[in-house]
Amino acid sequence: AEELRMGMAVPEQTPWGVATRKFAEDVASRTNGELTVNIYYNNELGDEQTMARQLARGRLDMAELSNVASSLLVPEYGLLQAPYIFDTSAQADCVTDSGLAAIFGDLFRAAGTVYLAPVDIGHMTIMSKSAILSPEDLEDVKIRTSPTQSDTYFIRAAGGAAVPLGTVDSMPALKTGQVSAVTTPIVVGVAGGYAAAAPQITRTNHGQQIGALLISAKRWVTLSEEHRQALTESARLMADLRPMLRQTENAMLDKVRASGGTVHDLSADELAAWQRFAPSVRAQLIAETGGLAAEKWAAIEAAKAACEVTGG
Amino acid sequence: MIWLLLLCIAALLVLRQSAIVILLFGTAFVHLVWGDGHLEYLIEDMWISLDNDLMLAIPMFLIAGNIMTRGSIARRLIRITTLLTDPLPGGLGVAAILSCALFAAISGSSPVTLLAVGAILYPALIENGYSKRFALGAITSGGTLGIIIPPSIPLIVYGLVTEQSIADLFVAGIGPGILLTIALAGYALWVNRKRPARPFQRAEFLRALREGIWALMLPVVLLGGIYSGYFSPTEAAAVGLAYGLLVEMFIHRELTLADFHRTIIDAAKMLGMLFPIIAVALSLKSVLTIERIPQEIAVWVTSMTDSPIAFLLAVNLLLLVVGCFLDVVSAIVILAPLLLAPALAYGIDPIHLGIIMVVNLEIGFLTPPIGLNLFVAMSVFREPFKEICLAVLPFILIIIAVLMLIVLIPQISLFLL
Amino acid sequence: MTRTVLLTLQRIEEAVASLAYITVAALLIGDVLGRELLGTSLLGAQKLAIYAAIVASFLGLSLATSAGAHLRPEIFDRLFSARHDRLVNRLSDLFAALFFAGMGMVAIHFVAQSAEFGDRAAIFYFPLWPIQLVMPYAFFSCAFRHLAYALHPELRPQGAPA
Ligand code: NA
Ligand code: NA
Repeated sequence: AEELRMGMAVPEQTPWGVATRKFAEDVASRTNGELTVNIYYNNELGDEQTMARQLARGRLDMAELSNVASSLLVPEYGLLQAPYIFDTSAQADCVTDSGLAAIFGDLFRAAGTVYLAPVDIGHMTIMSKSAILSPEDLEDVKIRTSPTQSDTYFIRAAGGAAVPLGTVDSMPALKTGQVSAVTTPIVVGVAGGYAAAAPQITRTNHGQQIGALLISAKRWVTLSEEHRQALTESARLMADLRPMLRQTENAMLDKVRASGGTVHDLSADELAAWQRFAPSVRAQLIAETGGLAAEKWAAIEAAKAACEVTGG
Repeated sequence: MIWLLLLCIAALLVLRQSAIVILLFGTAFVHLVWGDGHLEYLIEDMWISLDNDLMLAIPMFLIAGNIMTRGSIARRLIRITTLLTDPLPGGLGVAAILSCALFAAISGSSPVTLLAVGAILYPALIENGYSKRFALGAITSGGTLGIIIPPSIPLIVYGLVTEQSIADLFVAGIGPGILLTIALAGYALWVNRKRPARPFQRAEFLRALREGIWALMLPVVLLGGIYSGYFSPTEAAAVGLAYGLLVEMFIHRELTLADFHRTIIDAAKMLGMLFPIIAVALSLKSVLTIERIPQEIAVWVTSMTDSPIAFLLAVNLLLLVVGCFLDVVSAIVILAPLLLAPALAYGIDPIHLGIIMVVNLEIGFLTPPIGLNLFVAMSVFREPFKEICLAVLPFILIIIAVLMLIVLIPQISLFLL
Repeated sequence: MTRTVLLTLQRIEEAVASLAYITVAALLIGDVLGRELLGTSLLGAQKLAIYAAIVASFLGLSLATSAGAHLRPEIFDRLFSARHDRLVNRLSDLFAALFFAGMGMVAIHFVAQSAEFGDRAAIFYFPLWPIQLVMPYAFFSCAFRHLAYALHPELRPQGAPA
């Protein structure tokens, strides 16, 4: 039997761990056990940055990467994190499922990897010590942002004092008061224990975190046609992650409410106050990402339009 | 194959190669034979091990410690503690321990602490009629407080390989550090109880306090800054460096730009020796992880006993033995990932495990045949190796006793978290 | 002549390493001051600091070689009588020179791959290979030094391990 060594950042018991294990089981059953995917959770094979590079080099066979790490391979993929890129979640799902592979597949291939599937990670929210409902509440608040241009520029544009920090540093920073708020996907934030220090959750949904399931191109070309087929087919299962994730998000939010926290769902007007910073940040992102960013942005817009036509 | 490797290493030893060459060679061999067969992975691992936020803190703390030793911060701190302990019988002995503890709160390394305090207080102890054996033992073992009282380079390395929060590890070092200081100072007091006390010189003390206030503020700035959230441990290292530099150059005026340049070069060399060891250990760790060795060890260990206490005692025994032969950084990089998996299975707090490891390896600084503080003391105090080993013996016993408390009462480490 | 070359090399490496660490400190402190006083962080300051520190660390590797500072196990030193010391040390340096040159070649291979695959810095997306060139440089610098010591044993640092 052939073995594919695969790395990912999160633990086995998370929605991503569960979905990825199902993917691996499906690969095994489709190939009658001839091809096995051996998963290493929890950054065991190195952090995401390391996994991304080793994937291209062929040291690692497969990886499930966040948007931040995927954009080390393809900077243009980072555009997906642009604030309020999609109009509705139905549109987001439609573009994710039908469009991303076509838009970014060639760039990932050029970076030495094969794009098997998008991986939903969730929407960005703000978790804070005292409620942050509008951009005005953000004024002079030291807030952790993910160390990306999209998140950091957005928070800055909205008036916050952005402190870009990696995931590992976020909790200590909250605990010591280095920051009094964080931006984070819900599951990552609540599972990471942020709610103890930042029990106010505002669902700003200001960024879509879409990662990628990737296989090294060097490894891909050594696989038989049937095995490639099996991987591609099984990778579709990653779409099952979405309902699982939303369920987990709701469970997490209930948990926060039960322990005395507050979850703020924003009204359309409140949301609009945040959304007004999106266009300038997008323009800045496209300009600074360079490469094929403008072209890929147009492709994303086209995919959004196509999804509207098909009523997706 | 293992015999071929051992044979090669023996040949390299005969050929008088440095530890770096032997380590790199051995790791290259492992990659070729048991790994994926690519030598460039070793280079990649060297890059990866350095491409990490935490690796910034180590040179910054090293440079800061060197600056404060070269300038007069250390001297001024010692002046304060000696005047403070005058009214105690054997006050100077207590001052030696307290000075080490105080300097430990600004230095991340054990030999640096030993050097800074020893250069001034060892001659003073001898001059004031303290026995050579006590003086050697107190300074040499007091220096080890440098790595348990934060900041601490070994704690940074532990955080690096186990992905634990450095801020939490630093905070967890405070309780055990204070406990060890009290125990060692208590011993110093008891051994020298027949010595006459001196009257407290109030005016002198106030003057020393005034002259040393900037030095005294440094631990407050460093730890206060980390604890109250003004900066991360990595940033604290840079802030400490800048603070030390400004104070020594513009307030104490006892450090020149040329001195500063030398201290940086010294730190660069020290890191040039240190980082390949960390890189090699991380590289081997990646081979072990792929083979899932840590999990197998965890399964094997947990099948031996259900008791976390039994496990921890076994870990202590292992670390004490390892500490005799390995330096603290290598020991942490190699063993922490292997011990973490079973410790988690027993429900032991990873931060607690880190403190236990560092206190254990602190003892390793004092045990032959390889004990860094023994070597440093041997060369700076010009005393025979055996004499120093005997001198630190009672102190080792005290540290072991405190270690047992730290092992059995996790709250000593975790109460501030 | 060789002495002058070695010394010049050492001065340059020292200057660059020193500058690199000062840059690290400046970036980290700038980040703290910006955040605490001006309310704005420099995105990626820490990342840039890391790259400066990497350069300094690899130069430290070769500076430690030039100072003869690397730790060396001495257990088999008495295998040869003292009058063979000089010869053994020259062989030792020759071997170390070859070994580091070999590491340098592998490092070049690694950097070439990094350039080929377009390894990029996080946040800034600039290519990493120019910075990574410090790795082959440091190994070749070590190799050159050992070769010089093998050819001119009198240049060897005092009490230096190979
Ligand atoms: Na310390
Ligand atoms: Na030892």
